[in-house]
Amino acid sequence: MAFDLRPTVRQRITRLTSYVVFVAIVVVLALIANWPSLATNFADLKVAKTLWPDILLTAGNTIWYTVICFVLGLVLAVLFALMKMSKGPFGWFATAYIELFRGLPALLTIIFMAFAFPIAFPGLKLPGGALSGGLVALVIVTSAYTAEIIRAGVEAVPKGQTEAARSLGMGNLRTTFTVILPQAFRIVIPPLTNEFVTLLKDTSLLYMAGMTIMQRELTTFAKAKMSENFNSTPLIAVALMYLIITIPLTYLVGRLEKSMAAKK
Amino acid sequence: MSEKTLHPRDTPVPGAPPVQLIDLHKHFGQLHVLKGINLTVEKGEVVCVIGPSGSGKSTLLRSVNLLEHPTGGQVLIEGIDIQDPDINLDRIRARIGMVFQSFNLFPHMNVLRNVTVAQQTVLKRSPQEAHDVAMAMLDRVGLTDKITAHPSQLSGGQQQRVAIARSLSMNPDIMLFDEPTSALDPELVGDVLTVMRQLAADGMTMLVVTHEMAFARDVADRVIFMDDGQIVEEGPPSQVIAAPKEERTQVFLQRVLDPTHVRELGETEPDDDALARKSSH
Ligand SMILES: Nc1ncnc2c1ncn2[C@@H]1O[C@H](COP(=O)(O)OP(=O)(O)OP(=O)(O)O)[C@@H](O)[C@H]1O
Ligand SMILES: [Mg+2]
Repeated sequence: MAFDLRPTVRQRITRLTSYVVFVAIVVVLALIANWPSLATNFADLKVAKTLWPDILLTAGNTIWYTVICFVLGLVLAVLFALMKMSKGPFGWFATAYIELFRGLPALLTIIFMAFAFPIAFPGLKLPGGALSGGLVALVIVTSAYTAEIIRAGVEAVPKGQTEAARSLGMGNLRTTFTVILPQAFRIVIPPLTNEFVTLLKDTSLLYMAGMTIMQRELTTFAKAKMSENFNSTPLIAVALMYLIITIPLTYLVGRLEKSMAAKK
Repeated sequence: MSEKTLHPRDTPVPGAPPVQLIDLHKHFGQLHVLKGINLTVEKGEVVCVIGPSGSGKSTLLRSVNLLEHPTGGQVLIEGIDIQDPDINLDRIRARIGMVFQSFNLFPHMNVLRNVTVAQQTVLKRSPQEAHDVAMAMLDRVGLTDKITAHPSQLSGGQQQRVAIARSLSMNPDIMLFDEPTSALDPELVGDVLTVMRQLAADGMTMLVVTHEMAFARDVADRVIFMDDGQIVEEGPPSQVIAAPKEERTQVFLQRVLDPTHVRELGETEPDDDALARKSSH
């Protein structure tokens, strides 16, 4: 080694250097940025005031869409996870479903369900128009990801649990629902919360489906308000709303993961 | 949960032994683990299975309730061929208690729920009846003060006694034990063996895989020595343990009864005291 420095000293120097570089970049960007233009375009308080209180309604819609899709997706996911773990045609079907919808961009699935599906099956009318097609798409997409999460959880439950339950005379389904799934859910709470956060952000893709004023979620609302005002302030406001919801959840996942690791 | 229609072959044959294994074979792929086991356990009999690691003791035990499916031969439980696809295997399993080396209590349920859940879901007992039976069984293993605890809050010995209570609550005709004390700290082994001794004294039919030679010597009606997937020697403990005929048995016992294993012979006296204490109330 050319430098014979104690690791703590070297660490301190590395950290100091990265701070200096970081501050330098920020300063340079601050100097070359067009502040007056930024302020009028992204932080116009007059525009911000017009967003209130509709922004709360739309944040409510975002949360509401996320919760419905998550819950329905979870139910489907349990079904597909159990199917995938079984042998035979059900297993193949579940595998195909999961791989298909994890392999496609969520936006594509939303467009398909919102527009192509009603054209293909004019008899099957969903209430709520194109938006419900989009929501169905989100349920499908999230169920594919969640199914894999649930399957990993089920496989993490020790084999002895199944053996104990079966030796007591519990049937296959009884064992799954009373003994295995409750333990599997506990194991996968952190990745499930992550999936919830991802889904919440993916509800922004619903803007492609189009919606009425009362149906708008945050991103659609922001886009509408931007063109109404010829100003980008709504974007910043909506970004803050997303962060207010997602950051605590992400923090919670970190805490859960830490406490679960400690228990092991 | 699937309820198959009652089949004549589903009802116990009067007078048939609780467990009868006929020319039982088990292969894991190429590995031939059980090589023609013939074994009958009579009602009220305590049979201990001993033998070196990998000799197939667990596989034998697990074949009795079909946790392991034999690749040849027959398993008769009270005369019922339980490999018959037309019988309701779950109903047979409910009558065969099984105690595992690693306890396998349900960690998400408290002690009481562990002991009531199968009574209610499998035997369809009312919550009140299941509760009463559970309390009686937990009393038998000396753990009525722990009913609200979760398994993770119990010592290994306590967990194993709850597991025994859980099996007993199903009113089994037979109890299977797979090295129930092997995972326990030495000072906790005695409590579990005490419960098992009491169970044997009460007339339970028991098939026990164990390394506890003192238990086998004192409690077993018959000891079976297994090696390499076969029954090498069987008979009363006074013969198989005290005066083995086969050389393989002698070599095995010499190793197990080595002075470094004296603990296994030293637990008899204090246990009997503990037994007296427990059965006095
Ligand atoms: N599921 C399995 N798949 C493949 N091989 C297995 C399986 N279960 C057991 N075996 C093998 O079968 C043989 C007998 O195993 P078994 O567990 O019955 O032995 P054991 O006598 O109970 O040993 P121990 O005293 O260590 O518990 C071993 O060689 C083991 O590796
Ligand atoms: Mg074993």
